[in-house]
Amino acid sequence: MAAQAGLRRLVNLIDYYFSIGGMQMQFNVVSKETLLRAQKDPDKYRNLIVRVAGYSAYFVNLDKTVQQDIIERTEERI
Amino acid sequence: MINSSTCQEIRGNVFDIQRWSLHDGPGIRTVVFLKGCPLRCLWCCNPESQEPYTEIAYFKDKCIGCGRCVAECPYGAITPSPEGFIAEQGICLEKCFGRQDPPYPCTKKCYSQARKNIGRLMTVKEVLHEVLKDSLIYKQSGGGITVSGGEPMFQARFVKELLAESKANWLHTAMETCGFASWKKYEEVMEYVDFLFLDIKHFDNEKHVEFTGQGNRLILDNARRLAQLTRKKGIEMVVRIPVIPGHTDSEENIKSIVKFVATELEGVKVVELMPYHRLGRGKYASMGRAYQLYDLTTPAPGRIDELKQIVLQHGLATNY
Amino acid sequence: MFILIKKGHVIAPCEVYFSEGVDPMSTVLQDEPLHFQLALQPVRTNRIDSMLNYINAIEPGICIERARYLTESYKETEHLPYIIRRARALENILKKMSIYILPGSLLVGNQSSKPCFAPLFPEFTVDFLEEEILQGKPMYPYERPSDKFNVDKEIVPELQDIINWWKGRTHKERVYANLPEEAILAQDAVGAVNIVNFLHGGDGHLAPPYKWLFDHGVGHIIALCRQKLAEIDLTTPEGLESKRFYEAVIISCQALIDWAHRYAELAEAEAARETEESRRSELRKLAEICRRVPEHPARTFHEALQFMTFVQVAIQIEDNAQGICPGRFDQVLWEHYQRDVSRGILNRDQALELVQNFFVVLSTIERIRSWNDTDYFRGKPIFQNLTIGGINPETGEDASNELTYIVLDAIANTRTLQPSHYARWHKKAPEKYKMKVAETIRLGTGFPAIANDELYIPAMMNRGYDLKDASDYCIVGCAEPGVAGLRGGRTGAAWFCLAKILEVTLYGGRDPRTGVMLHPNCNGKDLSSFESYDEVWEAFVDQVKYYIRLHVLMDNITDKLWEEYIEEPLTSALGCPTTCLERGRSIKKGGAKYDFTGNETIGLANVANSLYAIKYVVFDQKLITGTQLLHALKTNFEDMTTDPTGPEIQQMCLLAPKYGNDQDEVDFVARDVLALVCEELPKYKNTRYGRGPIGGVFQASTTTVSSNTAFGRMVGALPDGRQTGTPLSDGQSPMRGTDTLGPTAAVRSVAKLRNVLLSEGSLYNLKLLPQDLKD
Repeated sequence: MAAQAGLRRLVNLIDYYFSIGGMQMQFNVVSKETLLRAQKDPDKYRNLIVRVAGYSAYFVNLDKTVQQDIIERTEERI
Repeated sequence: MINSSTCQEIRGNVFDIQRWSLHDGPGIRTVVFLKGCPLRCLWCCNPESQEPYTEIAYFKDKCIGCGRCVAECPYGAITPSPEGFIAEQGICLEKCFGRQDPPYPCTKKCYSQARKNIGRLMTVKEVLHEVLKDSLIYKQSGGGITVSGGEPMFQARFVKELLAESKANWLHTAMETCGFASWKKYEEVMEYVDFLFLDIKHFDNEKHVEFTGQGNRLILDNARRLAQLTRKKGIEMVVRIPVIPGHTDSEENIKSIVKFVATELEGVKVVELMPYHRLGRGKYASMGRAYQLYDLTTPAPGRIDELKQIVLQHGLATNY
Repeated sequence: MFILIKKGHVIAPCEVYFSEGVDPMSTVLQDEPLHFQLALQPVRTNRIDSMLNYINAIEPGICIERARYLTESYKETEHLPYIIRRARALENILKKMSIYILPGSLLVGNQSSKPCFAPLFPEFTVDFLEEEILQGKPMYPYERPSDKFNVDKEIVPELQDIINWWKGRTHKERVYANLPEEAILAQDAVGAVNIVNFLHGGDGHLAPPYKWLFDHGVGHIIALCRQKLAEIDLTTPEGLESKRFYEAVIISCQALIDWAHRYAELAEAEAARETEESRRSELRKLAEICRRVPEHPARTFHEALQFMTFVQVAIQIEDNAQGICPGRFDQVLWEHYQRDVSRGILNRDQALELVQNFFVVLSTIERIRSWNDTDYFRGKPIFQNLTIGGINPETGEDASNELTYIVLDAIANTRTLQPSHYARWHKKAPEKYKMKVAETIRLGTGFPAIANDELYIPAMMNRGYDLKDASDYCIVGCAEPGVAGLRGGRTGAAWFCLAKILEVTLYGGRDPRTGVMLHPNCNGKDLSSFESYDEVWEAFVDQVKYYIRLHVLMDNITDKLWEEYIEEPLTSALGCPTTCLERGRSIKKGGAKYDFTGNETIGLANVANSLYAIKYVVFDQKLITGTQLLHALKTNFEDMTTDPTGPEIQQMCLLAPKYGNDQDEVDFVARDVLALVCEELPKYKNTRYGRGPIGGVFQASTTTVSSNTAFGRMVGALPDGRQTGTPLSDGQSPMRGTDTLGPTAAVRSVAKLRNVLLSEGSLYNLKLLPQDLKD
């Protein structure tokens, strides 16, 4: 596997989106599992930062509906 | 772009096309999964890939209980039960599977897709249409198309056409094979392959029969010839060993395979160890069926590192 | 990948059943799943670490000081012009408010008496202060389930007095008095257009021209104003008008300088008490810096950063605005950094620590919104956006430098929510930059977001920006482009809920939740009587146009009243000095070089999916009639007595192709819907049109903040299969859970939209799994 394959993949994806007419993108790099754990055990995940939309916030400080919205966003992967 | 008039005629049975595939060859790729496999590995985590014809999956969690499938099945195969709407397998086999063109009648009005066809007959053109959508990211990442299964050689003619057309469209091509097919087929298909993954599961022939239903002689034989061929063509070939605890993970087995690679497969420089994962377990368990390897756990921490040493000691590279 | 029926070697008493949705791994996972943010501990100096601990230990609260000194001043200035009153009030606040130095901090500037305490802005509205803080309706700010604020009981009597004085004098009351009935209904009943955010504070959304400020100093602005005052012809109405402006600017800028001097005195006093030698000299140096800036040009990196801190904080004290942005941080500070390094008075580590210190100070800024408005802004965003990378506007070459990498290191290691971050991206960006940005993104804090120069620049030029100015853009909010010092006006503007507008269309123009009918469908039909997809589209287009008209009218009324009563002399002088000072008028009166009013379009994916589902289910496949579908929507897909049943109809709707899977037929519907909004808005003028700025029209964006959950509560079941009350899609992202073919397919769908029309910014949220980005 090439060096820094994971980072390259992300760079490729951004280059791809932008080369076909994408304008802006922002990321959450987190698994559903981590977010579910944070919901269950907020104290342990007090510092966990996630992207909402156009800004970031502490996950455990977010309203439940917004937390759910983020959890349910599609995890883009195989 | 796609100019062969013959490719319209051949149809392959494809059960999935996965874009954003990251571990099936260099770069970001699209993997075409084909149905049909000559082996029946006990640990198989894709049981839906084994039969060559279109089958039906039933996802109880998705089922909204409308019961339309009962009425839609002309053979009366489906009856409601506490477990959902269960089809009599014998009838499906006799009336539908491999005999009718999918989609099968019982799935046609299943809007929730609880009952779903697994496997779809597609022309080379149709498959390529999907694959070529991401051609720009293949260029940027050094990726391309990977043909997988099942066992691609089960549909060798289709695979040959698909890969030939892929090459005609400047795609990098990779193939994953279990090695169990006639050499004649490999000879034809390999002309269009740029990168090859070959599985060697067990070096002991009897064990190989016990675990996969077939012996390994043909596989090892093909391995030698494929190594020769890829070396001659100047393309990369990677050998993969599934590390299945209690089955293939003995040092003896790994050593034998690695030694075989080092001494007999000149040109092969990488042996990847594929640790057993429990996705298959979840799948079988969710299917409500006994899975022979249900209690099997993933390799102990550090085990892969130990086995990796064997690979490195033989002057070969490995993943992880 | 899934399942199927196998008949084979294993005993199968029954067939398969298991859900695709559940990852079987999740039930067996014992260990923490990979998450880079949790796995990689931040590296910080003791100074930064202890400052962060200090701030994080403070629970957010409410500070009454600003309200107190503002009101005190306003009571004494009733005879003065509004802009002077505003300047006088700011002067009084900056003179009397408590100031502090964070323990160990190398930078100063505070917005309220304690870190993370929200100041109050009663001139905008007092109704929620009274209801929530005094009466606990619907709950006290400390009872909120999230976004809480503590309230010190001792402030209550004083706050009551302040509220009483402001009643009848607030911005919100004036706006409501001016809005036509149909606009109020569109906002408060139907929930299709919403300007509540702009009843609580000013607009903000700008980047001061820091390079210009560092070079000139605020003293220079005062001198310019004095010179202008001497030249003005006081016999003309324009002259009288600009006299007020210049006087207000002088008062506010002098107040800012004096405020900085208060910090100098405080630092000296603390130095005198300080026992530790190294800290004592730091405080003395800080005192010197505060005597120097912002009055005079900044000579060093440290002075420039302190200058920037003062300006950031002061503008946010003047106005309750969001999106006051440092701009192209690595560009505006590069000269100072380079010079200091070559003179040997600064090294990279010191610069990194200062930048982190800057982030910490910006993190102390807090804003309280009404509970209702909080719904749209969950997690307390302030939007102080910092932009790095991008091209050099003079040469078109990549402009990244060492400071770019220092910012990225600071993001990874400070991990504060403020400022927020953008990295510009373009074809010539070096690989090293892209990899470093990717590495920072991989931490999963959402920082930085990425903006594509090759789209943003032409999008801006399409609305009248010069090539050079557009090439110098920075993000000034969620995703909105601005140019430091050149763009003012109204970047943020009304929420525009497309999903509600589609819903209303399906019911003939009537809002099914409230029964309110503002605008009947142009063809007089509804979902039960549309005879073709074209008729659906025709009615929808007409409704969109109707609500855009309301959107424009609501924003222009807000602007008119801001202009008349709440001008911002300091924001104008620091935000757009070159043009405002030349023209002698504030941004609100047309002082900026570029001026646009924005928009925030919500629910694009739901609308595209719904329109396509109607076409697919009703007109193409003819699975059910429009009447059946309408009934299913009315009953939230729950009616079991119909044939097919509600749940079956929902499944049909869900089965129709969805935006986000690289399927042209539905992606093109999304494209057309968005283009409709993008092209309709610029037909309308804002209140600065023809008064100086280039632009002066409305333009579209797809920023949602968290309003997709708030609006979702008001929107009933839709033909995309979404049930009533659930969150809408965010930004221009596919609806969550419906893009199933992976990120390459999803980004191709999103790229099919005519993004270049989104001159007010594009917003696409992509969620990736950490293990996919593992090396």
